[in-house]
Amino acid sequence: MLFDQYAGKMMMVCLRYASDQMEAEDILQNGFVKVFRHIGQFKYQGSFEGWVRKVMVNTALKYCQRKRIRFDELHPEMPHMPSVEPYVYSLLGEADLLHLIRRLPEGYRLVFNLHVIEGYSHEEIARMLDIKDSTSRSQLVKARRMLQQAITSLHKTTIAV
Amino acid sequence: MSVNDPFFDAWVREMLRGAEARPPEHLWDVIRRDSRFYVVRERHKYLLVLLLLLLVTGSLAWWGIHPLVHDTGNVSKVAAASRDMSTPRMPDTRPVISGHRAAMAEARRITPDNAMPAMAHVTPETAAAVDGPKITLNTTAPAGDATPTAIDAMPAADLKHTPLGPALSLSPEGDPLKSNARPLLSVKRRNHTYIELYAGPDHATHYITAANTQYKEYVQQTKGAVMPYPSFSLGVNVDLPLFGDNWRLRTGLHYFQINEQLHYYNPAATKTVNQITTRSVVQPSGQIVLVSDTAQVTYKGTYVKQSLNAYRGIDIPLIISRTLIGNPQFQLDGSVGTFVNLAAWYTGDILDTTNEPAALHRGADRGTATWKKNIGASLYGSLSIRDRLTSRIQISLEPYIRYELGPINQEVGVYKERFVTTGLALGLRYALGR
Repeated sequence: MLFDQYAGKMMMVCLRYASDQMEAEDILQNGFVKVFRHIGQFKYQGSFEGWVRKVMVNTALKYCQRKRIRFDELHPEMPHMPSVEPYVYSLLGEADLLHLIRRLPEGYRLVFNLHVIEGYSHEEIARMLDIKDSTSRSQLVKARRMLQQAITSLHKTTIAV
Repeated sequence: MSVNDPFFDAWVREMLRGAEARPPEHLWDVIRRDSRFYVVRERHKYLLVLLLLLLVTGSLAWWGIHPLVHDTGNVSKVAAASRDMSTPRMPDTRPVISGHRAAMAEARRITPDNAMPAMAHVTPETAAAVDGPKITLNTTAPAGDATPTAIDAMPAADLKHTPLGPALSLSPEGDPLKSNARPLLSVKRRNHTYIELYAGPDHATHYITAANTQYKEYVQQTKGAVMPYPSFSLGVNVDLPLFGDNWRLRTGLHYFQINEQLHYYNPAATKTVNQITTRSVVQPSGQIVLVSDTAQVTYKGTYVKQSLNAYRGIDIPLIISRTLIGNPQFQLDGSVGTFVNLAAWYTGDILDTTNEPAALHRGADRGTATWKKNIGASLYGSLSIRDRLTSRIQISLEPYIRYELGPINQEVGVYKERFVTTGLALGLRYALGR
């Protein structure tokens, strides 16, 4: 069944965008309702999973727009972070990574998800979120830096323990 | 650190590519239920607004427009006016009627026949405007009981009332007017014939039961593939009195359309086609020969199909109604009856026993009859609330349930299928005749 096939993957998508578990479930629920409602609009261009994912992302964006996220520079004085050592990556599981992404500020998280994971360009993100290209770029840089910092911190904590 | 970090981005993407999280157990049921409400809300929002407006209009008619609703209020006003009239007041300018003979003479002029219209015209305003002598008359009082006293100063409450014949009592406490004996006017109740138009949304529960355990899995898959979709029915009825106005018979024409959505999804669909390629071969002799190569090509991919299944039919309703609660403004009726099907037809797709979508058909044009062209009789039960908008028009709201007696599919060897429909019919009823 379609739901069984994609529910797990799409729940992961929703968790990346939502502030909490409840919101993720709401997004997943509304997203699937839209999928069933508009399944006839799938034109066999690209994969079906890609289309379902796009519906979920658009639903998640609707939720985010309702919250009127402010794309401020939250950490303008963020210190320069050394690059993450490659071996650190192998120590991190997908659940850890998801946890760290979800801890990002909402604006950062949104741009990071859309650009890095969904593959949208900054121009597309700017249109979708009604912000400037430069804002999208700067949010991405800050988000990436913050995430790398969190990964490094997590690694140091793990070694210390 | 550079602005871009392609390695980091690629690593994040790769980590989350196949990641899955467990969705809550109950979510599928919620999605299934919400799809229906979502469709109702999004597709029929204008219809819902219209329904809401109609309900508001009906409520306004009930609470504000019809004068009968304020009967009690008017009686209190009349009673209040009667109290004013009973207060002894003697302005110098008013004429004095005194003496037993004068009172009796006036009493004779007012009879039970003309007393009622006179009372009916009393309003607080007209009562307050009366500044003359306050005459209260007892039409049945024997002449011997009356004392020769000036009655202009006498409060109405002081006059004795003897209920010997048709009379009205007007108590000093302002109680409502009541008839002590038989009514002054005998109003004959009229038995109206109505013509009724109605329409409303339906919810159909689709029951599919496997004929034996062999087909249980198939039936489960069929159930899982279809989702409810907003349905509706409409019709026209003649509403005839049976035994007076309280027992009635309704009959006419009823059209129903039960809708469902089929969602078919096969992630590993294969389709094999025979591909014939024709080419020309030039033989050493110079002769050209056409050669045909036949090859079987199998395509693999995702097969997604969505279709709207519509089950339509026309019935003749035979419904007997009984008025449970009623007054001239408001009425609550209970109804039972049967719907006799005239014709039924279908469009859409279902899953066949190989779990592939197949077109629904009646058999007339495709060879094999899957569904009945006549689904027989069904039982009907309802409660209807009626409110009078004008002297001839009533608006009604009728929640109902309808149960098909027989299965709708012709071949019951694999499974039996039937609908149980609940709905809410919004109607208008117009009284015919004079």
